[in-house]
Amino acid sequence: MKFSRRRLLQGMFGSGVLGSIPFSGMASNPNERQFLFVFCEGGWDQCHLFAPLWGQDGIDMEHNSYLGEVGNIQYVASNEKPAVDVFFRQYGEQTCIINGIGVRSLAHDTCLRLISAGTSADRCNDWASIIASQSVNSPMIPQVVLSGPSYAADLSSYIGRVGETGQLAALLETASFVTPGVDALEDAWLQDLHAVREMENLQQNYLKQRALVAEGDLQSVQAMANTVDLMSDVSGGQGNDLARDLSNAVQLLSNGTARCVSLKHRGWQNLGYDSHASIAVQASNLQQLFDELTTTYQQIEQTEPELFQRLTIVVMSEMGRFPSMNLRQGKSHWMHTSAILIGSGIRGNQVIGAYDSNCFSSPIDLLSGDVYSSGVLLKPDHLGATLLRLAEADPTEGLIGVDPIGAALL
Amino acid sequence: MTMIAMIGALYWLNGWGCTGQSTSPEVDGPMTPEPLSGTELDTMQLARRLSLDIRGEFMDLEEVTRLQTDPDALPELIDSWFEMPGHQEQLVDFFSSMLLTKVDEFNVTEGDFYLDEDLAQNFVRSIGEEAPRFMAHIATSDMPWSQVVTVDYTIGNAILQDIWELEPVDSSNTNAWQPMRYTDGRPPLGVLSTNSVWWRYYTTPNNKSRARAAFVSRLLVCDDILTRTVVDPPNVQATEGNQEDLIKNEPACVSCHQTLDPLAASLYGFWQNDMHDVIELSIYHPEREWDGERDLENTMGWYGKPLRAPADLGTRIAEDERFLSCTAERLAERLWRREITPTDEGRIDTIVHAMRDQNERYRALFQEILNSPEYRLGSSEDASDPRSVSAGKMMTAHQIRWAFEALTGFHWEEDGVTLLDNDEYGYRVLLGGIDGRSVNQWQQAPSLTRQLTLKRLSQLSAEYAVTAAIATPNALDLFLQQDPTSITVESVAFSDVIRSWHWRLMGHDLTEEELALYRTHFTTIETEYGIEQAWITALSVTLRNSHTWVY
Repeated sequence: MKFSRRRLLQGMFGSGVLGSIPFSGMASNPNERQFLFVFCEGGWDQCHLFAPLWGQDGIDMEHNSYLGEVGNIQYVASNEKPAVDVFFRQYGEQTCIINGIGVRSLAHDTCLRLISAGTSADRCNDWASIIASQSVNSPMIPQVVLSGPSYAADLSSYIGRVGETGQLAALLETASFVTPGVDALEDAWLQDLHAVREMENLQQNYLKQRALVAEGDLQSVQAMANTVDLMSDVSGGQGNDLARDLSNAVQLLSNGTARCVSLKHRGWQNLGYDSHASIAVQASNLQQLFDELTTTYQQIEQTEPELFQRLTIVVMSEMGRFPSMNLRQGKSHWMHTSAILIGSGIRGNQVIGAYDSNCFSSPIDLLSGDVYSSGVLLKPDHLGATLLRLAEADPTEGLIGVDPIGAALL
Repeated sequence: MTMIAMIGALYWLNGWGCTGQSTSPEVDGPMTPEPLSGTELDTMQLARRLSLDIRGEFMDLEEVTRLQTDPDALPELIDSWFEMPGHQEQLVDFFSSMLLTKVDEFNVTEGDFYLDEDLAQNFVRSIGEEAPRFMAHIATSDMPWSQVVTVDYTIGNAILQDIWELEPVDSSNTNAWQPMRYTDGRPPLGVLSTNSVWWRYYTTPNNKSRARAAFVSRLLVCDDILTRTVVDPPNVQATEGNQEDLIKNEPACVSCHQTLDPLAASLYGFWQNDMHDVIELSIYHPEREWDGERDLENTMGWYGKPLRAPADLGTRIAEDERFLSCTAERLAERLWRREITPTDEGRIDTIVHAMRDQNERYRALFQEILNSPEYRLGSSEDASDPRSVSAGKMMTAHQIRWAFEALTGFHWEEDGVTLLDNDEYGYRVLLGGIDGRSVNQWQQAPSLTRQLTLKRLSQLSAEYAVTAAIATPNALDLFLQQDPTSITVESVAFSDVIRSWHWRLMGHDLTEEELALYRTHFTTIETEYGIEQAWITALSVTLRNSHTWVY
């Protein structure tokens, strides 16, 4: 017998725990927007893509770079990263760049929480987990974390972690742990035991019910023929982690396993984006990133047209890089960054916001997206409010009253 | 900043912050705690909760039997649990969750010290555990808690002794982890003098030790400067040229930087010119102690009180009114397993007073929290009271690892890596633990990943225990010193074994209905797969049962 998430949750509501669960109780929605979060962890260099600031004092632009222009999108182009041009030519109409998001910190940990959740507090829930938890479609794993950061202090039961090297796949391989037939008998035994004894109080019952939901979803995941491959570290065989993760993400999203998938781009040859030395690797990183984004988005467009309609891709990095180079030809941290929104619900073919001549964020008008001296300095909160609006999710406490970047939305 | 810490901060600043006096204030009696409606756990459930929180283990059969016959024996048992190795390990886990130093990667590797690649895991864990083990050492000693920021030694092991040239405090000590001293002239700042902390919280030329300062205030006085609301200064845009000027003169910036910068200035002895250089990272730099004042154009200080030298910092922190209340909040959060709310203000104040009355010992603090109604809550009459969630807690990843190993003897290891204490290849985060970087909170509720990891751990643990019991029936008391394959499903011994598991793991008796289910399913598996597998599965489902890991 399979557990029913909805039945169990309804049972839980009956026991009075409703208030603690962010579950809308709404009917399922086949058009519910889904999200793919791609983290360029370490801090990307705005002078390699977002900030065309040649000729400014104290700003070291990408070597041999020039202005790229596709439609209304202007960017830092170079021969080292032609994939960026290809992507914008092909999908610029669906792409919105948001420049000049101020994170107000220079520490990776803090900035990661800020750009993901709008707060530096340890106890926080990121945009992805909030959106996942409010799905009306009861996905088996509301958010799958293939790699990279994930903050879900209160919403951890909605998160499925694959592990840095695909450990979840190893755990799903029943034969490695127990005779497969016994595995199912054990589950049935446990289920019967759970049915005959009540927990002591509401909180304990809440934990038990969440466990039953998770174990029901686990059974469903195990029943899927290719689940292990989707979670595996070695199945992709496409040459790099990003290609494999993106491919797996598409399948997890298209088959409804997850509403949100998040992953990290480890950079070209896993060198990452934290380029305190040899800033040139940023170009290689972006070349790989956009190359894989193009491949993935093409695949979705051609083979998963419904997902193509409902998928929003969010590409972000927790910080930028100091405008000028250090003695090791690298760059230190910088408290202004950018994000790229692609796809469903996004007003594409535009760049919102800008960096001023010192590479600081410029204030903007949220509705038009234009740089405007009396406008608003963008913060991660604005990005969060925008994403929750796209997801039709209720804003959490910290975002109540924060306006989304209306210009980015259709 | 939490409500209580905020009140403490105002009290501190208004009361003594600008006077330069350093004595502790006369303190009136404690505030009155808010009443908590609900029932307390019964003795057996309370004992189970205490056993898991103090030493991270389930009760053994002897303890269960003793409590069944003499409930008044609980205080004596509690005292004994505080003396067990498991208590130290619980504390290490608690402090790790505060320090977040047990990461899988630092800026340098074992190779940078010419250590064998096989030592990679030991290398990162040794560094990561230095600070939490030091705090656990102070916590289990009879010393006042202020020593955690004032003593001149750390806790090290062979790897740390080797790479940092530490000197054992007592050369006759043979413990793997023992008090050791740095030999580079660093000031006596306790946990703030550990490389463990500063390797985890490194700084950069632009940051100027401010992130480190923010960590210190967050850890020790619960003032999370980074979460302060910053009002955008009207008509002011920071530029490279005016940034430092704004930090000093613009009220919106000054509100944080007047605290942050003097503290950051006191940390420059730990400054590393190159964050990937082993020498720069490993040794203290006395010659740089005053560079911070020049770099930040600010004198060293702690919340308005000047420091004569970095060595003053620990004393200033220990004198801060918020130091003990923050310590109490941090531990209560973990034992009550929830955020501290304004409703808790009176209770925390009461606990701090009691701790102060007992020489400010951490053990006294621990016991006071265990004695609180919030901790002993069995069920709440008011589900809307945020304190009601303490009535049901989920075992942490560390507790599961430690308790299952103590119970079954199973240690999940591969190629020398403890898989439940590693994220690169292992399952620490998947089981609900903390990786110190992107997962900074114990998982609060079950998820698919956590349940799957628990399932596999249970299966492996059960298999190990049954195999061991077959080979040596006296090795484990799980099967009441019998070979499990000799225990048939209809025998009295069968129900005795299952009943003992229920008492030990769940704190309650086995019902006839449950026993019937055990017999039915056991028989099904025995028929098809044999009695050994049936026992493995029986133990596995018991370990996975939510009544086992909810407490």
